[in-house]
Amino acid sequence: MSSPASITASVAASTYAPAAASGAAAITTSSSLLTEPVPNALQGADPLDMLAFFESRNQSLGVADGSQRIDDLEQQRHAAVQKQRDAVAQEVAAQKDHGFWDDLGNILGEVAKVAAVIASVAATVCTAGSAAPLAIAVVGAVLSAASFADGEFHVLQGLGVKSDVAGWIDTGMAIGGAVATAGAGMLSSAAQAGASAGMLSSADRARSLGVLVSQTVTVVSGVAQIGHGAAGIAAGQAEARADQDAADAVAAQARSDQATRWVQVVLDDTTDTDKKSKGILSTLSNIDAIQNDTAVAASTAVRG
Amino acid sequence: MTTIQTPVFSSDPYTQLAMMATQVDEQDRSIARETEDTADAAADESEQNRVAEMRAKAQDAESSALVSGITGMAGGLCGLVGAFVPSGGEAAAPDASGPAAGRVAAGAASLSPLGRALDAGSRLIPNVGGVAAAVYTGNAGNDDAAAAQDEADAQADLRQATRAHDDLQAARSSLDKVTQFLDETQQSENAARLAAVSVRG
Repeated sequence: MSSPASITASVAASTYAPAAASGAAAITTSSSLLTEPVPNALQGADPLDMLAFFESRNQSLGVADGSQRIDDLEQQRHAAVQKQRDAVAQEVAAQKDHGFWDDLGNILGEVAKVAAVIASVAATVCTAGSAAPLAIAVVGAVLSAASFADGEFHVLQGLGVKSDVAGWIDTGMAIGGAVATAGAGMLSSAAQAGASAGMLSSADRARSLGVLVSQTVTVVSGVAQIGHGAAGIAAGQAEARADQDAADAVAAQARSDQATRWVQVVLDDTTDTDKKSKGILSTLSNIDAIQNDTAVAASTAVRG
Repeated sequence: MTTIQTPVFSSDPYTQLAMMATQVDEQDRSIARETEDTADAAADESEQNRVAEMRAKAQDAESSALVSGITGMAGGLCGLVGAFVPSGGEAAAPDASGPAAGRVAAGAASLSPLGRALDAGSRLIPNVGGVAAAVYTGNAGNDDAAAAQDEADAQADLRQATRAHDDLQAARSSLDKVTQFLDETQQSENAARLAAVSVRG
């Protein structure tokens, strides 16, 4: 019958070397913890004792090596957790920035939209006296106002239109409003090209006031639109930073989780190796005891 | 791949059985370790892909905001400049009743060609920018979906790694039992031999 020691030795625990795909420090182990055999090292010594000595040393080195690897992994895990905390804190700050710029951009966007509608209405008032430009300008103003209203209150979506389709309709109405307003201007310009200028009537003064209002509101709308664009860029950059920080946090968490898994693996390996070393030592001890018993039995038999 | 070798150096059936069990357990352990390593590496790769998709989403969101913001600013600038462009009517009759009358006669609706272009640009450019930004927004949505898929893949790989780890532990436990069985068998044989020797003595 073969010795249990030989069996247990043949199934000695393998080492764990997970693929270092993430770039983290890989767990490396030597093929054996035993020292290189020196020629004639066992000469004059009991081989069983030498085996027990080396196995005991192997056991101690295995535990020490496992402990060291677990310490290293714990340090990696703590570093990853710290990075994760930092990334989450930066993400929160970036989200605050995004919220601020987003709110500011929304306010400026509202101002720009309302001003654009007012400017459109004022331009419509200025075309009074010419039927065709007036009608077209009214259509333009209505389209712009409808686009604005639906963008704010989502009437189309409330009527069952899908959000993307409603967005395209809003965009179309806005473009249509712009084209109609511009067309009304062109028609009005053509109609008034041959008109003679006379004394300013009350209607002309009203038109003058309308022009002034239209220009003023257009300036406000332009400034607000520029501010809206700038705030949108700032908000987008802040959102991008938040997303990047979220990605950093996920990456750090993945490293932390992987380190935790490796700690468990190394712990299991070390425990298994230690357990097997204890088994081998126990087997050697039993063999020693059997040798002694055999010697006693043989002595007893010889003495009779 | 490890193959099960037929034990040849012992005719004891218990020993042969134990050796075969040991080899099977060893093979199971090796496969489980290999599976665990592979699943762990796959999970790590999936997590890296997820992070890459999240970064791509961030870049797309930034690009969308840039396109939308720049075109919005351009539109606003057009509107701002357009408000100061002289009307077409002024140029047509500058000396009839002065600048004020000219502006009144022309009105806001009778803008010069440049004014009309700027007015149209102030409305069209932001909308065109919105359409272009929507492309980036769509890409960001795709990146988000891909990141979610990678996360699901990583979770699946982790579950597989956990199962493989459990299999590994089970194989170790089985090996321990075989070793214990062999130990007890040998102790019994030795005890019997000693007893036999003692009886003879």
